Amino acid sequence: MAGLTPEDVFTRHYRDIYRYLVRMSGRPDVADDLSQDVFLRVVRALRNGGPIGHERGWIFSIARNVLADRGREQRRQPSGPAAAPATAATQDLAFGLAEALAGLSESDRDVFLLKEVGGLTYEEISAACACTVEAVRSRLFRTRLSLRKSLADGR
Amino acid sequence: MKEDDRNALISAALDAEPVDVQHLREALTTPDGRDALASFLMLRASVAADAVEPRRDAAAVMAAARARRRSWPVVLGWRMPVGVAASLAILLTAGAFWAGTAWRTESPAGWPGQSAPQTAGAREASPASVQDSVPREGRQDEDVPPIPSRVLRFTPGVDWHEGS
Repeated sequence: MAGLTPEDVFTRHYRDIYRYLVRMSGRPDVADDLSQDVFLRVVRALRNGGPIGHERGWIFSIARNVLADRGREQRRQPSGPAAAPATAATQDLAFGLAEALAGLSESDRDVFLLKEVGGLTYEEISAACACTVEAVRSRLFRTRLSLRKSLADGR
Repeated sequence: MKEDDRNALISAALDAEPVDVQHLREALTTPDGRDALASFLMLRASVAADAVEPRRDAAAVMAAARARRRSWPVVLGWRMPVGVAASLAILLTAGAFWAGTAWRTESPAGWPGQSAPQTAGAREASPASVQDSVPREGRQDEDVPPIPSRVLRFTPGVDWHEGS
């Protein structure tokens, strides 16, 4: 992609990347750090000139990988300040939904946020998560039902 | 159409994924289907209304990232000498092992525990004792018999007697 600068790409998607990272990590400070990592990887990837494809799907895949790497690091250092309550980052979101999101499995939350925050297509999510489109469809549907039930029970 | 299939269809339609329109129409004729659609739409609206905003703007994040990348050599500063020292230690160990192996292959007599080669003159000048020539217990690396350093002669009937 000629003329594509890392700054342009990052600025275009920064807000949604940040929201995705906050919702997945549960911590704004972690999301700040991870956002920087995402930018650095965007710089490196564009410099190396690899295939990008759909820009939004590509940058969310980067964010997802950064998040996974951080998760691996934290698993290697179990005594570190890794696991913080998800509620710290979700005080602005309707409390019920924040709780319901936190109650999802990581993979279900991931797929749901890639769709709702990232706006990725099923095909892009399936590529990012290395699963089939049918699995994405099914997981999204189940996650929505689960959230709907959690919200109904919380009322 | 089962309830799960109906809801899955509505969920996919909500995501603008290709669905069978006839089936969708059918799904939406049921109260449960319409209720599911309304719930999913409300869920989407809630997520869209998420008020979490980045604490810094994109420019600040990019500047911080670039500054951090520039500082990597400094951060890694204490690690680099350790890495170089470790590499040197490995190289030296490997080199010493190789040199030792080569020396042992080329001059086995020079290896510790093996007698050094002696000239005939040297042997006459300082004859080794018989005890020195006897292979020590446990030494298996000497295939060559020891060189006799002196000859002892015994006379039957003088030095020993049969039957004694």
